[in-house]
Amino acid sequence: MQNAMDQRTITATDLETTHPCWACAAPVANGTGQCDACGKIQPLGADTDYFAALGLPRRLTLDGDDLERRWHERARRFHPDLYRTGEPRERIVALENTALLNRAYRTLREPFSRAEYLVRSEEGAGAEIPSNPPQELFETILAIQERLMEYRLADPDERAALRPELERDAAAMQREYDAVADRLTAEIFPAWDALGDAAEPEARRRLLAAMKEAIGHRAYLRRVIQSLHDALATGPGASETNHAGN
Amino acid sequence: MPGIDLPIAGAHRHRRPRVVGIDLGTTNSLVAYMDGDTPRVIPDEQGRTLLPSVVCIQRDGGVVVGEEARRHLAENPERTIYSVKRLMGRGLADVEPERCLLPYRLSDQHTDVVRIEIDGRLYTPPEISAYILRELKRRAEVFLGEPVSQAVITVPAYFNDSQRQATRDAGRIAGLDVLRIVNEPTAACLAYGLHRARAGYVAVYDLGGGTFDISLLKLQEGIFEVVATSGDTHLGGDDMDRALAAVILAEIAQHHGDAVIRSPEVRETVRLAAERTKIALSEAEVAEISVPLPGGAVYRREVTRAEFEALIAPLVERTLAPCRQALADAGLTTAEIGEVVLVGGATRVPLVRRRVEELFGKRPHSELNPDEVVALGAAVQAGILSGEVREMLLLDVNPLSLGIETMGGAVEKLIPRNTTIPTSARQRFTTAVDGQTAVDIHVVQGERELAQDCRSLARFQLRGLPPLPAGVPIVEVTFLIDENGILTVTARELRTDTEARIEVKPSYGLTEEEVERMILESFEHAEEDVRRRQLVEAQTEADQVLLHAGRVLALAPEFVRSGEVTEAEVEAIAAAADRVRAARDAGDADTIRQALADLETAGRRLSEAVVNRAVRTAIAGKTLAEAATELESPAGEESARRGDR
Repeated sequence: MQNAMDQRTITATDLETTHPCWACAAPVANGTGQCDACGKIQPLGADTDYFAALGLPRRLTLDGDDLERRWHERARRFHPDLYRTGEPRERIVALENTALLNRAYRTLREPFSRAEYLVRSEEGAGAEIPSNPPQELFETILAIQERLMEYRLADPDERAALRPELERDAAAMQREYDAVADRLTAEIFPAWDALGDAAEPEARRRLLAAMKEAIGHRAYLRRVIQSLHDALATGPGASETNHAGN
Repeated sequence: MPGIDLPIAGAHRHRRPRVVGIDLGTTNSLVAYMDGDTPRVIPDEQGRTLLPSVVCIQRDGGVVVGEEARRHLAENPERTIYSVKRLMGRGLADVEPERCLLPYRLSDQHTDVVRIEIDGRLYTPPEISAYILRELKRRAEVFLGEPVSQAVITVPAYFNDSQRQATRDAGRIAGLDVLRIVNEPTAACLAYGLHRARAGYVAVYDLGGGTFDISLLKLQEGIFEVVATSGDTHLGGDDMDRALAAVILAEIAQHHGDAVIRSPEVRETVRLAAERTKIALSEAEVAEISVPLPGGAVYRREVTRAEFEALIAPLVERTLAPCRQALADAGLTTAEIGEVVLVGGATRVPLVRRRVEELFGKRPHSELNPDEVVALGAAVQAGILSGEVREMLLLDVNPLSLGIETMGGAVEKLIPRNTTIPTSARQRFTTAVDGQTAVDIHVVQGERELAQDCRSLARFQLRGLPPLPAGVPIVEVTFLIDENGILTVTARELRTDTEARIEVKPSYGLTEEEVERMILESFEHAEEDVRRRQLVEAQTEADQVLLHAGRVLALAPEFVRSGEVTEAEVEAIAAAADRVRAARDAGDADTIRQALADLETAGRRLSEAVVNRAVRTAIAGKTLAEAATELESPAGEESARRGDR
């Protein structure tokens, strides 16, 4: 949903850095969201980079509290509730900017979705991210799947006997899951952030591949953990505690 | 300050129409407003703040709402509608399980929208709710002394789009522009967090008459961010009443036969007795139930709190699963919840408080009246929207996931539940068949994996695609949810730039035309209602005036003899009184008023003479009481009335 005013006659050089204010036509620096001349809020643009929308450099290591502060600051400027009696144009800008900022915050606050966003903005929306088990866990997971099948087909007495092992499996998979998350934020993120603009394409490719692998492993492990919890929640002696979380 | 007419920036805000906050509850409804920076509940003329959500359609077509309608519950159960909120936005199939419990009739002819049948006339739930809203609007207008036409109305967080739309329609039928639908627990949190600087997570546990909601919010410097919400639209205090009523009915049947409990009157009396018992047991350890039965027998029984708790324990347990779900969705543990707030009348039940305290490991707040807190919060959001409240902002979420149906009937979720709104999402799809020139877009709402298990919101078609091999066209579907939760879906084929777009108006079987018609009808009815009230008032006044005129005319001969009035005057008074009597029976308010004015003019001199005589006799040593009786003449009353104005 590109706004019509972005296509008004402006010179090629202006187009790089400014757009005319929809209300008073004064040039407005892209991404600032406000016209200095008349004070009206300005579209951030639906295709604005999520990091830029929140005023951040494209770095993967983020301080969650700082991210939230930035989001709140912008909500106080753009939220549609504050423009209910405003001009129609103003209200559309408020709605679209806030939708963008909410999406940006939601995507960036969680490390895996932040990494996925980066991968897709580097490699295109269609970048393939297969959901695979970690190579070294292949045998283990195969065994777990067999135990799960056995448990599902078992009668209540047998199930009780099989439970402890499945509980151990769930805990082990959770440890693997945590390890993937650690690798992403403690190794891959700092390495990516350390790359300068002059970094070799090969180095970038390697790190992007590592991110995709981590995202894929995480998705796979999450499903395994979920099916273990689902099975354990239905069996005899299912505990009252909640297993839906991760 | 009159006379000052400077263009002060922002001054126009004060002339903005006021926005009120309304809690349209299953059992009771309330209206509140912002008095400066404090939300307040608006009372009626008798000082009552709770309006029972009960509507009675009388035999003459007249409508009674609230406390007065409540009195009809036991006598006229088939024409007295309670808990209509449970029927909002629902089809007949949706309400089938509880249908047998309702004493009023639902039409079998209409399955898309529930219709209540009374005296052969059909009423939709939004129309019934509109009667309640109209009374709240009237209260607010009387109290504030200005017209009220804009409102924020609360609904259970777990209400789906149809139920929300039905609530909006009810507002429109009542003559209210509904600026925002706010979730009840969120509203409660706004009321609680109003002057609180503390940052942290708050859990709002809201157990009302018919619905249960749990919401988790993060508070930080005036920003209220909803992080997760869950609930059950069919669980509330009414279910506790029913559980107890079922026991009572079974015992009555045992001792007095099955026939007795088939009577709607008996069932309704038992339900009300169960409700009273539930309320009593929140304070007392033992309560007595006594139900008069047809034929003079009385059913009596004592219930202890322990017995009642054993009965309702499964219901209370059912509230805990949504609590855990919300915590999981937010990725929070109970230890991270800083405060717990209780909302809804059913949270007065001690067992509920105990279980909530056990789950969250902390004593819940309940300083604010749980009956009022939701309306107060609605007033705060109304203040934010009208610009009166500047420092607060509510960041709400969509309660249910939105997606589209893909190959094989699966659902691709585009916006998961608990996403902060407004928001947007984009997803690319392609064709499945070679040469396909149109794509069907089916928008669904819900958490299930298959489209058939979700709620269908809209279907539309993107046409005019060039005939290309399967998989080549790129169809980009964009969802945009605005701050009101209204969804707009756009589908675009990127290679050819073909576009189709639809605003998903949540529907629940009532067409726009039907709603429009109801709005028009409600205007007619509103006029009818006003006329009816004016007539009753005029008739009442006529009766009083005729009573006094009779007394004065009885004394007339003395005054004719004394020469204070003439014979002709007395005849004119008698004739005027006859005309008042005729007008009163004819039943037209204006004619009655005119006749009363004529009688007053004709009788003025005689009335004055009677008053003067009374004063004289009082001085002459008559008792004060005797004098006062005589002073109670039309003239005396008239002067008292004038003094009022």
